[in-house]
Amino acid sequence: MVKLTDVVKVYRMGTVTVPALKGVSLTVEEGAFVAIMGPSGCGKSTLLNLLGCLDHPTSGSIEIDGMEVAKMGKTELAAMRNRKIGFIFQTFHLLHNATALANVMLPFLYSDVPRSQRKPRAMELLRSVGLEERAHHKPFELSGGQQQRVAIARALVNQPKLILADEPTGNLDSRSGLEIMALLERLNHDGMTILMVTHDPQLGTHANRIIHLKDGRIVKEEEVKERRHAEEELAMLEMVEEP
Amino acid sequence: MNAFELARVSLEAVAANKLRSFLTMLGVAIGSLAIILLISISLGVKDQVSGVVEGLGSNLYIVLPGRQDRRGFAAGNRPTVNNLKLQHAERLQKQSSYHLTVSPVFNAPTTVSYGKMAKAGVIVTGAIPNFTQVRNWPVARGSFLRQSDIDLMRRVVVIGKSIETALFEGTDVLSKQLSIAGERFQIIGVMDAKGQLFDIDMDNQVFIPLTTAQRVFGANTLSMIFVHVPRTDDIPAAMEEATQVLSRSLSADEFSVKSQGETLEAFQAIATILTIMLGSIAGISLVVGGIGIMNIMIVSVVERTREIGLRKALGARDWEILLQFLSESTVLSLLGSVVGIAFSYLVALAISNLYPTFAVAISPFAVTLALLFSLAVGTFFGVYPAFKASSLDPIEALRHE
Repeated sequence: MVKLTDVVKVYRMGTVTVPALKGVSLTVEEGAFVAIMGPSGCGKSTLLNLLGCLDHPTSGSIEIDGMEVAKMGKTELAAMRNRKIGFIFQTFHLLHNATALANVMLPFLYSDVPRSQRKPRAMELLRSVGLEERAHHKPFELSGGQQQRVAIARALVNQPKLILADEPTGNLDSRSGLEIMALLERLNHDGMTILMVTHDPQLGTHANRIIHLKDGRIVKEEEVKERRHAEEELAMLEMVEEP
Repeated sequence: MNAFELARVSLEAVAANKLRSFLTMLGVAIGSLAIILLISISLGVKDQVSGVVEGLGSNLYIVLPGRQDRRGFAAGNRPTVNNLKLQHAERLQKQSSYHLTVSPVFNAPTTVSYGKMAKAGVIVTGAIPNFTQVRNWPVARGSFLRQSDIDLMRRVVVIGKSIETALFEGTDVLSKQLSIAGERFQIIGVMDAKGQLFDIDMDNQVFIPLTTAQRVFGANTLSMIFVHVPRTDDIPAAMEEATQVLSRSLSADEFSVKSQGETLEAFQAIATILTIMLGSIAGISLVVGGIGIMNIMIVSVVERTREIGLRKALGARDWEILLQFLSESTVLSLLGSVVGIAFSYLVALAISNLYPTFAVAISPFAVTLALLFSLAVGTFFGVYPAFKASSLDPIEALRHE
């Protein structure tokens, strides 16, 4: 699904060059749930931006769904982002003037999905994240967890091949965070490929593979032996809370 | 993104910030209002002046005492001696080969009174019988002056509509006595209403025999000679002939021959300059409104940096962002213009109610011009902010606080 070969990214700030990625090679199979971890400044964000087709690598090759994106022009990259990739951000990035439904439908504005399919598909996704009732509410009327669920529905609306999540639970309390993780696990279980950046080692173990980055290099790759399951943890949480 | 979606996105953005949008629109609204009103008023003036000049009668030329340039203004400010006399009119009538009707007139301001009521500032026009056909101005009631009235210097008068209204409201004026410059005249007729040119009331006139007028006011000169030419094509030749005939007894400084067309052209030239000038001044205010839009759009782009980053991350291409912001500024400008148009109709209505004689008719041309100009201004001043928005880097934009 995703294949990175010797990807280098160097930022130029005036006369100083700052290497952010120093030759990263990585393969993510279809249906994988990969966590990318590392301290700040390790190149996580740079890697995510490259995978998200928001930026070009300085050198190396990036293949997403069989397409080489390293040399793509701006318009082609925009089309890749629209059709192949679903973004989930730490701060949700919802349009505050638009309803949940309108937010979910936003990517349609830049795609060629037939008009008749748009609303039904968006409503279906809102239903699947449990927010059908809240479709006509604006973000400020929703809790943080609900806002992130709207954002996930938005990420899925163009039926992407790959979900990129940047600290998806970073702005949420632990319970809402677990709910989001449960949602991501369910998506992954249904076959979606997910790449998640996090600095939280606990969250990393929800994935089936963890990639450790440090100073622009992959320092360790590990398969998660004992995967945690958010659903179970949520059930336990409820048992504890009930007197 | 199609045109419909583009319009919807723009309207939503405008609606999201109602007060700001309204204030931004206000500049364009006032600019549009100014354009429409000023152009409509000056076009109205042009029409009114043209109407009055045309109302002098068709196929007409005029002989005036003194020298005047072709545009209808007295040359310089030096006073000219009036040597234009009845004999000149008679000579024109006799010596012309174009079957002219020559109607000499003498004008003087005076006060007229009836019983205890008086009206000052009335124009006395000494005329001869053919005046009504030359000026295309019939009597409403009674009759006009007859040749015998002229020959016998009778004290008879035909009054204008305004005089009748002011002094004789509701009563039958025929055969009543009107006092003009201290002498009593018998009223024999009332002229048709001719209307107004601004404050100059054409109906505030009384008509008495030319000979009587010259006697009463102690003059032997004429104020002007109206000459009617049966065929329009003959007018230039007839004017040329008149100049030759009059030159035999008058010097070039003592008379001018002008056609109604020339007078009309002069008025229209002034009115056109006035229209362009007022329109341009109003246009400047619209441009200022456009700068206001640019200002707000730049602020808006900065405020919505994250939104722009998000839209790009979701697959918006640069030109789609450009178009979104461009259409937003255009929508703002057009809405402003529509508000201005609506207000211009209200103001026109208000003026018409306050000054019934000065009716302002909103010109469809001015409305179209204001709308198109607003469209152009909104688009032009939207280009820079929209370009700024479209060239934002999505990563930086998403990270923007």
